[in-house]
Amino acid sequence: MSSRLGTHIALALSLSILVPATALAESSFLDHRGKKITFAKPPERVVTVVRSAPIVYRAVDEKADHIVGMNKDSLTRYFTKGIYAEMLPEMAKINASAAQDGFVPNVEAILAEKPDAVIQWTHDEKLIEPLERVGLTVVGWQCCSEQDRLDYVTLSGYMTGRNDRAQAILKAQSETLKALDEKVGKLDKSALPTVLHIDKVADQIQVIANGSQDLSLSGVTNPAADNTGEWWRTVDFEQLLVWNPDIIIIPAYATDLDPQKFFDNPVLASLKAVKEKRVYKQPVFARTPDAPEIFLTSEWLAAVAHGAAFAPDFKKQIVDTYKLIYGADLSAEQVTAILESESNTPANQYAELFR
Amino acid sequence: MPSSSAKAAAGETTEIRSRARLGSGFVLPALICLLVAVTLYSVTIGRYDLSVADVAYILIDNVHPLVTPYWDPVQEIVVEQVRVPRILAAIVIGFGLSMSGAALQGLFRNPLVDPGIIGVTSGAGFGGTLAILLGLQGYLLLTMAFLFGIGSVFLVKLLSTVRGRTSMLTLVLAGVVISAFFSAAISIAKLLADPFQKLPAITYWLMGSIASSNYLDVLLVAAAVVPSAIAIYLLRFQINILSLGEEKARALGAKVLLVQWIVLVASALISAGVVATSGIIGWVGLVIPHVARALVGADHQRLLPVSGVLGAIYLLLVDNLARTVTTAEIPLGIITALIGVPVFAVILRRLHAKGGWSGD
Amino acid sequence: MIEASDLTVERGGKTILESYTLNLERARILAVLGANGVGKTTLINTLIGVIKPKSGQLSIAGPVGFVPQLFEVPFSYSAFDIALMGRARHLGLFGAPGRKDYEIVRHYFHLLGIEPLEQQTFNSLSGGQRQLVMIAQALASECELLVLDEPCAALDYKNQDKVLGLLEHLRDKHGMTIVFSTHMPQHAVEIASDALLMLSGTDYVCGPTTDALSAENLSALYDLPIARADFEGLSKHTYAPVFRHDGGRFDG
Repeated sequence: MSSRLGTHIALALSLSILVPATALAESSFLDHRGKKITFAKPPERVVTVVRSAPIVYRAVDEKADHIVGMNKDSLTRYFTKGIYAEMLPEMAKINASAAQDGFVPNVEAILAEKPDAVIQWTHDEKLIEPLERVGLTVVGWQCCSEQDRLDYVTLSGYMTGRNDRAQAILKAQSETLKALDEKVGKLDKSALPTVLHIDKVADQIQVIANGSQDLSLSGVTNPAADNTGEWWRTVDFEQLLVWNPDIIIIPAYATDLDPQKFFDNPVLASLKAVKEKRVYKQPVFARTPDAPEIFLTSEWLAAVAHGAAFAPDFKKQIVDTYKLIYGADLSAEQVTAILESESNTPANQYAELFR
Repeated sequence: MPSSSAKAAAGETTEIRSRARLGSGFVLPALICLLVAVTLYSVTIGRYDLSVADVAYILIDNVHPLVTPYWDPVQEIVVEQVRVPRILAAIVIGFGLSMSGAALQGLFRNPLVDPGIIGVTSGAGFGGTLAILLGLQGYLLLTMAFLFGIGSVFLVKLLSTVRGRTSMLTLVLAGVVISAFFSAAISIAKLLADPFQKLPAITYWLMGSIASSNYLDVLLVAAAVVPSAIAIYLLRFQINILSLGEEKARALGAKVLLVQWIVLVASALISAGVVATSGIIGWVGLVIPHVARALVGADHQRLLPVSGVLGAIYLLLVDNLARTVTTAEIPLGIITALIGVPVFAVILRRLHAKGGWSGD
Repeated sequence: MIEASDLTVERGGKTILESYTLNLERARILAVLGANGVGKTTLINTLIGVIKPKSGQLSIAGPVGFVPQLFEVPFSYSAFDIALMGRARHLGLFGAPGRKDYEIVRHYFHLLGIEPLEQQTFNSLSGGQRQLVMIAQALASECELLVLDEPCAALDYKNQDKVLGLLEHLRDKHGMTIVFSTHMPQHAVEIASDALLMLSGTDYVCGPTTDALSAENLSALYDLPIARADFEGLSKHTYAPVFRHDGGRFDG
């Protein structure tokens, strides 16, 4: 744990030192392993094994020209259809043979792209060693706390030489969250609504017990949180009844669930959240937890829990955020699609919330 | 001797012949040549474009420079750091699993035995899973896989030995039970693992892959396989005797318990070593000995080395498939199962047609 | 050759043999007779060392070779492979047979007249042929005591004759001491110098054949009238059962 802290401090320090030096082409920084990486100039050819790295890198670099290889999963999950495919059509053309199964790198395919850098996870030696063994420069990304995700942006800033962009993105996030924090701070701490994130409903029900999203930012609590550190818990309906959450959220990745399914389910009918129709589908900006725009989720959740005042002019904010991060001009339909307005129609006052 | 019975006996000779006596002395050298050929071929194939000449010059350059290096250093690295280690790993693992499979089939007097049947594969799998769950890596992971692998074999032997006598049938059943237990334990561990770091690590490790093998991995697996294979080979005649049945073997003066233990421990070491470095690769130790038996007969003095070399060739070819067929790296364990299952079905039918095998 | 005194043998917790005492000198043939289940196999297993007696003394003055009754092997070993395994006692733990071992086995195949069977699959041989291969295996172990468990049980008359002749030959020409069990008293009459009649786990009659083998003893042994039968025109006799002696009523 202390090594992580040390790494974060080092990163933060190096960012503060290097930001003024963006004019210089050379960049030297520590990756999440604490290893010093030096680029004489921003790498021309980058291969990403981390699934969400192309999104972050493209966001910071403002172009996809330097991404020459990525994980097949990146292609299938993000760039074949959905909002990223629409906003960033050029991503689908990137060679997707760097890895497939999980994060096992296909070393020969990666070498064939002649990359200057490879972005890979740090949690298993065996993922990085084969790459370094053949002389590749590996930038290690750690998984998966809130701070880690902020660091992905920072690290991409170092790599691309675009620390200004990294700063801008991080600033947008911190400002939004700061504003949110002020509003949430005024709430009565003892009467915060309970929110359950449910992603599977079958014979058993799967809920997120200890996720990485900081729910306190939105002024809500998770009744399923415990000390075990396990991400999910599988529970039965009775446990659900005991918790009886005020609000139920369906995570964005649970593509086969929507609020209507909850409302139609006779077994769940007696739950408070179902009776009050406070079951919501998370918007698409929560689709990948590593996306730079994910901070919008906290705001969104706060609005759903406490009212539109907590996310003022949300649609405009979405448009502005996506413009900043991806340089994309979203149409009204795209914004509605991002908000999952269609799935959320049967939910309580969704359309009114986000006018 | 009366002439009629001599004639009858001679007549029978032409009708019924035991397996492959013709040229069985040539099979092993021929297979070794085949192994060398397949190895050289394997080094030349892969996603990174390299010609046979390139590879040859690169390899020979290590021994004696023939030409001034005209190749990209990256190409040299691909050959020497990416391909060669995993080819060596495939050879060692294929050799070890097949030889231990043949030895166990002899020990258990049952040609339908796979090294996994003594519970070591699931046990080692659980040991490694537990290590990952606890955040251990490297040598600690290997050690835990080993310990649990050996421990599970010990458990199996304990369960099936009553008053100093081991019923082979009970050993197999005990192996099935212990395997099932550890498989369930692995499932529980996966349930407890966090989905972003530990769970993918566990799944990846379990699926069986030599994709990231480096020379250290090769060394470690060889350290497990080579001494064990030697021990098994030295016991080749004893395995013949033990395959007659425990009582008969004892009557012939064989040290039954000692031989059983040595073969079991050696097999466990091989399997544990393989699982620890490369995950679970099944169906090799089961199927290859049968092919070998068809080539050189049942005498373990010939069967063991032939099984080993055949297994090495097989796994090498399978690994070639795994890394070239698609963009992805298909886990070895999946391919060996895809091939192994139908082949096993064929073997089962032929055995059944011939009247099956005699159990305990 | 065999000195057993006061042997008590247990199997599965039950006492099968109690206080058995018997002595057999070298180059003699002992026939063991008894009804089913009386413990012939247990006695044989004790003699070959597979079972340790619970109490009593057993000493055998030389290596023992064993020929089992039925035998199937799970793999297609050749007859030669099977016989070669008899050399186990002469090879160390990590040893393998060498030229000398191969020649010894070849010699016994020749002796038994089964050379043509050498390369055939053992499992494909007839019962009689297998018996001979097993005898070759036992001989290859260079034993001094040969123990056979019902060697004639699965054989036709011709092969029985062959085996009996072979056993006598081994005794005469090779000084082999032989113990065999049988259900046919005639076998004992033919070649056995001594006979052991196991009436029960505790009760037995043991001695030279001429003494031990009598109609009276046999009748007691088999719980059925056994009478001496003399062959017409030959100076040979046998003992045969008198079936349905009481008029053939089946009372159940």
